[in-house]
Amino acid sequence: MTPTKTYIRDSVSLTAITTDKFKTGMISLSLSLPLSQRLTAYNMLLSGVLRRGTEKFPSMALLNKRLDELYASAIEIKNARFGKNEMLVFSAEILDNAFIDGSTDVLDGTLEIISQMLLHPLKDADAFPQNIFEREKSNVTDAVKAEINNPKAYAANRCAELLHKDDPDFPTLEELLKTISETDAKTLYEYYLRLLASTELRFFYVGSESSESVSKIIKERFSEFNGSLTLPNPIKAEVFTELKTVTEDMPVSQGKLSIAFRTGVTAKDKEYFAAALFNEIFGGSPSSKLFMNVREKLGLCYYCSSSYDTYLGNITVSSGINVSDKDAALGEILRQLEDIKQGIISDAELTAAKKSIAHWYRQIYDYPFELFAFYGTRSLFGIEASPEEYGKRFDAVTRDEIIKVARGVTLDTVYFLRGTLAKTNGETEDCDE
Amino acid sequence: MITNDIKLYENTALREKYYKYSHPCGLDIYVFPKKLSSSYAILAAHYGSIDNVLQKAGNTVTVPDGIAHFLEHKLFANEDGTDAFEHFSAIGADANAYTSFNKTAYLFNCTDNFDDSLKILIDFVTHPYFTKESVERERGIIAQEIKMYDDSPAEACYYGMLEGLYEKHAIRRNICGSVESIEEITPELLYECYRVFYNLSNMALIVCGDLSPERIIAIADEMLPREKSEAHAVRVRETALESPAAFMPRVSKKMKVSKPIFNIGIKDVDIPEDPLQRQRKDAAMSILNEMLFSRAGTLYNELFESGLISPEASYCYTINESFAFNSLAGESDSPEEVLAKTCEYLHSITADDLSEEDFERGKRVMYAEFVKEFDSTDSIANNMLSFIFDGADILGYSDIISDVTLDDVKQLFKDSFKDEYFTLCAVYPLDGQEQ
Repeated sequence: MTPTKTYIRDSVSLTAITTDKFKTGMISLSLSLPLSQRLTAYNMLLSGVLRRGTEKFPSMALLNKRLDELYASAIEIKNARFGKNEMLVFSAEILDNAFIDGSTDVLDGTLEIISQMLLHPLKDADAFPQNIFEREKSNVTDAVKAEINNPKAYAANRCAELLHKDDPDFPTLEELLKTISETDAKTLYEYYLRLLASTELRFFYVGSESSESVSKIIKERFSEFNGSLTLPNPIKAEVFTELKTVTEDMPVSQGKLSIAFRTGVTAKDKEYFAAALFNEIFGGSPSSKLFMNVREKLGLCYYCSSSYDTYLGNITVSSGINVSDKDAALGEILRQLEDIKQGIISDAELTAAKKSIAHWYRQIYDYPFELFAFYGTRSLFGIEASPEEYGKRFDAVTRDEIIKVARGVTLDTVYFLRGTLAKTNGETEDCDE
Repeated sequence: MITNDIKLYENTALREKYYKYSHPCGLDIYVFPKKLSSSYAILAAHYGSIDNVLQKAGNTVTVPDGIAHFLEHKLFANEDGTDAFEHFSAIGADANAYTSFNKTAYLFNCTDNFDDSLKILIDFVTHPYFTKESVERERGIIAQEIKMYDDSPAEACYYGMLEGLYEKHAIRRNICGSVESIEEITPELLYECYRVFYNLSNMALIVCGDLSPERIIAIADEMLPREKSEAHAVRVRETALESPAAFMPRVSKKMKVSKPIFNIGIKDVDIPEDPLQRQRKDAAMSILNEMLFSRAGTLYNELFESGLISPEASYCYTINESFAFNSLAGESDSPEEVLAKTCEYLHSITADDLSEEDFERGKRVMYAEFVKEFDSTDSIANNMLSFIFDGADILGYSDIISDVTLDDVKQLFKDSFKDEYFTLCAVYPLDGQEQ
């Protein structure tokens, strides 16, 4: 299960893990660029337009039919952010040859479609076709606006906006919608050409084929590609400037608390392992302090958990509570942080956190997409280790090192989505039906 | 050593097998060997939110909605004041539980200490301990869970569809119950439901990982009684009461959404009693759905190109011993128009328009989706559970898919889409909400 990295050309590489462990392997293609204000909007529009048809499969129906013939090899195109970089990722599940009829080559067929989508999308002279572009513009606008359909995600996104408010490279929801509305079919096509010229193609494969045979297919299917190496923005912790507190009303029954902290520690730092353990003990699992106290002891919520953005060094806590319990919940969350700063970490908490993280890294080997997530991002920043080796590095971390990280944690943002369908005593009214 | 008591199920084309053993205590144990890093175990009761009627001394008693789910939460508490989660995390296992319409599952996944984790699982699920105080505290936690779902338009829309389809069936009520219904739950009621539905003959243990049946049976022998308990589950379900027509053709709600979302439900009361026939119907209907509603199909592409639906529209057929329905979900400025166009399309074609080519494509997709489920211990164990509680063998399903004929599918097409079976639930933006 050790990956082999091959440079097919200067700007085209393949990382392959050859294994017969899976009936369904995966192939992905990532294109990454440093984050900038308009990049997210462009990538969103582009991922819509590219799936609408290609020279060889000139409609979405034909494209989807072909994918069905390739044993439901659905190709997803997604945008993913890593620190201050954004990737456009094409990925597909690949049913292994052992389980299909001999006449179909799923891997080659899927790579053909990805290459068609990326290199030969439907286009007019120097723009994407107007009708396709307009349809996708409206789909992407709808998708961005649909964020309010999920109050938990909405609160988390508003909190993240506040967290990045001094950094123009992170667009706010409003800026994102503005860029989408200002973009036309020609601007997007120009961006697409720029993207192809200024990025490299990184393929990742998990399956039973050898690295050589996958390389051979890629070499043929992507022979026309001429990109260049682009260095990613380095990993750098965001720093605390001022405490931000925002409360917003929404006609829902539950309040959503989203709180962000700066740790100053990222995956590149030697304190990283202690910081990840800190997060685990604080709110990363059902045996964490937040779960055991805010939920189990005080009964204030159903969920209260923390997550650690290892590329920017931020920890975000989210919880759904009665509106009237906001102060109690916030107070308890901060009290638990204070406890850790004071050194209150039991042996049981430390052991559970280490075992939980060790388990996490061991189970990566069972999931092709987790292997991709692990190797595909870490290698970009020069972190070369297997999940197993990486998981073992948490063992040596001491309680004092975790406490030291905790003492550097600063409260940065408190965002509260106040549900206005809630009465002041915490009872809810029925939704309008 | 495989004894006569251990039955082997095998699918050579799929290169998978599992063992079944009926323990003297009444518990059926399934062991699915799989050489992966993680192992997974589920101990589940064939008891879910729709089982809210008990037989008691010859009478039927209705218990509060949401009690199966409440029980799931409370079972983690031990008599010594500890919580099962703590025991699992002390040895590095990742535990969880879920309640659905017809089952309650307790599970863990681990890469180390499997035997001890399994003992913790069996121990806490077979030792209920409910007190007034702990039930009271849990009520607050579950009320927040209910409110979280109440605020979700997607949940509201799905349940709205079920309310539209069913008049009496308990599936129309939320799995978690309501803030009001859980007020009525007491430790005594929890014990009563536990006694009826958590007897070991009404449960199953499924393990998947680099494991042998002998190893699991040895642990079961250590942890479980040698004899069956006298209690047994008497299921009182309401399928027979439902008419074929949808209860209400329209359900509409208003919530904070950016644009309307919808679920079209198509009721199906023709549920074969024989599990194998049910599986056949499931496979045939799923293939038919691929032919009619997939992203490669005419309907989806017309709705999409005309801007009537967002790209993420989905479709799904659900069938088990108690209920069956088709659902189509998505986002649209005009859910009514989506329904009209869908019905128009279904009227415009006849069974003979269903082509061999689309049929083979649908079959291929279903086969691929099925094979993909055999790569991780969690998906294997959870899927097995659904098959087991539906009286079926998971490894037999690929043959069932391949045995479906185009004629089966044509017949289903003729029977399944009568206008009166349809309901449309839409969640619209609030009045005066900016769009």
